[in-house]
Amino acid sequence: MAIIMKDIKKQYPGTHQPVMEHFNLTIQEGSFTVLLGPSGCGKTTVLRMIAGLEDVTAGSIYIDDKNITNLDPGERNIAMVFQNYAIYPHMTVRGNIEFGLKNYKISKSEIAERVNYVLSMCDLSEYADRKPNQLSGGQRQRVALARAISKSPKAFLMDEPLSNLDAKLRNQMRSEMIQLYNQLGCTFVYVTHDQTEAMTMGTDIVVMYNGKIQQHGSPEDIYNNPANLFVAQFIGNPGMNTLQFSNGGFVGFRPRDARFGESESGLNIKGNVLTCEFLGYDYNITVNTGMGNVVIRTKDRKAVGDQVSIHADQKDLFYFDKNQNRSTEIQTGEVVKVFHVDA
Amino acid sequence: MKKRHLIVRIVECILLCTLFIIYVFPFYWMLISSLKTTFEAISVTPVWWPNKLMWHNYVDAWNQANFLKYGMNSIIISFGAVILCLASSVPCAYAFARMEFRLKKPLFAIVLSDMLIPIQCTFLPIFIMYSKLGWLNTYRALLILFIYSGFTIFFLRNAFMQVNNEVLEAARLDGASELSVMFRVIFPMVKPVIITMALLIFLMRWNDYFWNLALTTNDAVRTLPQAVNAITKVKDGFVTRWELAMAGSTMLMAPMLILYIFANKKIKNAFVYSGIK
Amino acid sequence: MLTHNPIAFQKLELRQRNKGYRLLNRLQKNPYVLVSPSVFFALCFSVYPMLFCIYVSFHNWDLTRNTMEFVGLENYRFIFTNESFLKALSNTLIFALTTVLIGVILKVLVGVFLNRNKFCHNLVQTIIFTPHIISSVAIAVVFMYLMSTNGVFNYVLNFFGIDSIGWYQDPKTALMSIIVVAIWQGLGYGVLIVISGLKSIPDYIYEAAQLDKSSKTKTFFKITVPLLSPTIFFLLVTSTVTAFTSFDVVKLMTNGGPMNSTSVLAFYIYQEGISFLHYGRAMAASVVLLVITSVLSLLNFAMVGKKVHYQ
Ligand SMILES: Nc1ncnc2c1ncn2[C@@H]1O[C@H](COP(=O)(O)OP(=O)(O)OP(=O)(O)O)[C@@H](O)[C@H]1O
Ligand SMILES: [Mg+2]
Repeated sequence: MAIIMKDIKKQYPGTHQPVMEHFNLTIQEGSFTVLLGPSGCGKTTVLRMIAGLEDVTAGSIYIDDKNITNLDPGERNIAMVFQNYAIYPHMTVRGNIEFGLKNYKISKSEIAERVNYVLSMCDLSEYADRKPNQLSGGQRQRVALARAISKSPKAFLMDEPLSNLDAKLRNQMRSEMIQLYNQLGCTFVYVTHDQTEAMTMGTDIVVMYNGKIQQHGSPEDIYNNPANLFVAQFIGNPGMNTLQFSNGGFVGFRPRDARFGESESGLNIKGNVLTCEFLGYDYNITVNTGMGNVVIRTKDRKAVGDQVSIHADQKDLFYFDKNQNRSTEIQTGEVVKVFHVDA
Repeated sequence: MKKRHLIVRIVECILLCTLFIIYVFPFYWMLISSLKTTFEAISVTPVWWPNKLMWHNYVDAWNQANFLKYGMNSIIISFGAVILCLASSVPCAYAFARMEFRLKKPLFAIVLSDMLIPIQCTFLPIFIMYSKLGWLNTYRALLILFIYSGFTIFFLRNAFMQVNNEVLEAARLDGASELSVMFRVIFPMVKPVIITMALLIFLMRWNDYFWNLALTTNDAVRTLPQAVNAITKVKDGFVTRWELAMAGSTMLMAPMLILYIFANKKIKNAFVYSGIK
Repeated sequence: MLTHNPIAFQKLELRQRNKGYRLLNRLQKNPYVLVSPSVFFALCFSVYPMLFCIYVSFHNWDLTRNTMEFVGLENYRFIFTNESFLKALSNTLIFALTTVLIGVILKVLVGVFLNRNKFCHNLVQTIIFTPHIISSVAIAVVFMYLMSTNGVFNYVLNFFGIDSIGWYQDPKTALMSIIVVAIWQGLGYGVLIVISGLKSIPDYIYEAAQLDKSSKTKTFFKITVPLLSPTIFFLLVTSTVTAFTSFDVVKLMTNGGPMNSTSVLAFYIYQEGISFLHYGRAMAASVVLLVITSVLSLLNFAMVGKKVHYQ
């Protein structure tokens, strides 16, 4: 039940630039794959192409080794949960779930059985005969989930399904979603630009930028082993500090791995404290180094304007070559500026 | 808020009453005169309340104007117009609202053209076309003409554009065919708008005088407005039978008035929203 | 745990549909299929008649010999030297000017006055809209009655010591009578539009004006009127188009008379075309009307475009 996208090109009609070209992605069977990336990088496009809601310009998509590129959305045996829930406003909760099932070859009694099962599974039994406008946001979200589950799809596609919920409900739904994934054991493809969601829920993360896959790996992999400068800066809160050498290469370190002080080995820079934000447990301190701003996360409080030196150990340094790809060679040289990928 | 000044309130009250009288009086007069005798109806000093209510005037007016026949014509034409117009406009509006195609812009301009071209410029060619086809004085002439209404398409298109696209996609993912997306998802969601539209088409066609006048030369398919107007030509000696004309007018506008009483918000909103006359 | 789960490990297959359904479904996906009936009838009943009208207006169509002879601007020359056309044109201009000016001022004033959420105001607003939804025949008939020699209008005049007048039966007052009916009929729609325009002005603007200690009259002229100007413009244009194309009440009440005193453009076209079968002249007059209304509508569109920028 792997989903394979092969050499996909997508260009929206009426635009001059393709959104993506030569796009290849393999989503493992049973994985919880999260598509993560900044706004406009093409996550939704990828998901909609898998669902069949958007045609591919070139290339093909396979599910279970079967080419589904030209199948209708309803024939692909996948379910999708939309950002705005997309539940039918004129049908009851039960009607919403039945509507989809009626289009498939199953008997009435089976439909009823399935509906009751998913209703109880999603804690919706008591709301079965309500209309969507009588439900809260979280309940609507669950209706959308129940509707998706009822069709026993091969894969669940979700496009930022939690972004319309408030913070508390989002946490709750997040853990419900993880439970659901463990219970159903089928493939989940989940789009988000929220790293926390990606890190906590995903078994696999696909980091995208500008219609290209930057890295595909486990959450730990993505955090500990960024494949390139973009991933390094995009992942983490805040992202990695990166400094450019005069030879064109880069060195980076995580804000949490730096501390105030100086040492023989590793990296040392000096600067003035620009801002000091209290985060509850520790501080985010932005330091102006003269070449640009560096952020460090530490429990030491500093006053604005303080002269500080920052140190990062050799083992915590990441190196990147001229082309911004990760390099294992230790590079040395004079730092010329603090580097930001515009994400 | 400050208490409004007493004089201001009195002036306001007077203005309200004036407007009320100016608009209600003609209707009151129509109703009350429809119950007068011929003599009372033409009396020099107005008879505010007749001696005896002449309910029989309604029967006379009914027979005089041949309400049964012309009423049937009115009903056939206005109900037919509602059904035909919606049947052609709904799919068209759906396509313009929800689909992308190459000729969308020019075709949309063509479809809206009757909102710009006054009927006074098109009726003569249509009259000539129909007389060549031998279609004058037929139901089909009027019904086919009423199939097309640019503002209906425009209005419905706006309603379809309000429907959330995600819901339609969810239905397609649920394996629903285009037909069931249309009939089981979109229709129920825009049902109020379609009902409003049906009301407006009915209203427009029931009241239609111009087309019925222009495209009929005998009374085979004439409708009520012409029939009621004909009552004013009926004379008793030299005296116009105003009480019959009033009874006829009352019966002509009663269905619209009843509709308006029950759906006045809907009807008013539709007129505001579509910005049409 | 999942042993009784009816939804696990089952593959659903789509229901098979019969051929007819599948065909319909395919058609349903094709936009051209969906729009073609309306486009066809729009061409038949709107675009083609208009083009035909323009074409015929340059020709002399002899019905007895059934010939169509190109005569250039002859029809236009004829109508612009024809007394009854010029009379109709001048009547139309007078009619349009008075109904639009008086009408729009009344619409704005009454609209502003009725724009409050009170029972009486709403009731009156609903009542004055009634003429818009009932047959013009009923309106014409009742006004003919009210304006008849022994009618209520004359009674009211006599009551104030004024002599009876002939209203629509007298060439001197006929056009005025038609204008009165037109204004009465059109007020409700205009008021509705003005009120919806007023409702779209946000409250905080008035609150800000109140804080600035702006007087009521000043607020009206310096805030309400400017913010309402797109609505007023829309009203001006639509009322003018309506005035130029009005036909029903004239046909019903006066049939253009007495002595052509109420013959308006639309009536002239009808009479020349359908009563006298002078197709060339009637269509030349139609083209004149078309030009006038098109200019007005284009103005309206240009303004609507501006309004969007303005916001
Ligand atoms: N219907 C469309 N027509 C034209 N261009 C589109 C269309 N939909 C998306 N795009 C373009 O394709 C690119 C990718 O869009 P997409 O919606 O996939 O981004 P995304 O990663 O989902 O962003 P977000 O996080 O904001 O949802 C964007 O540059 C967008 O402008
Ligand atoms: Mg998106």
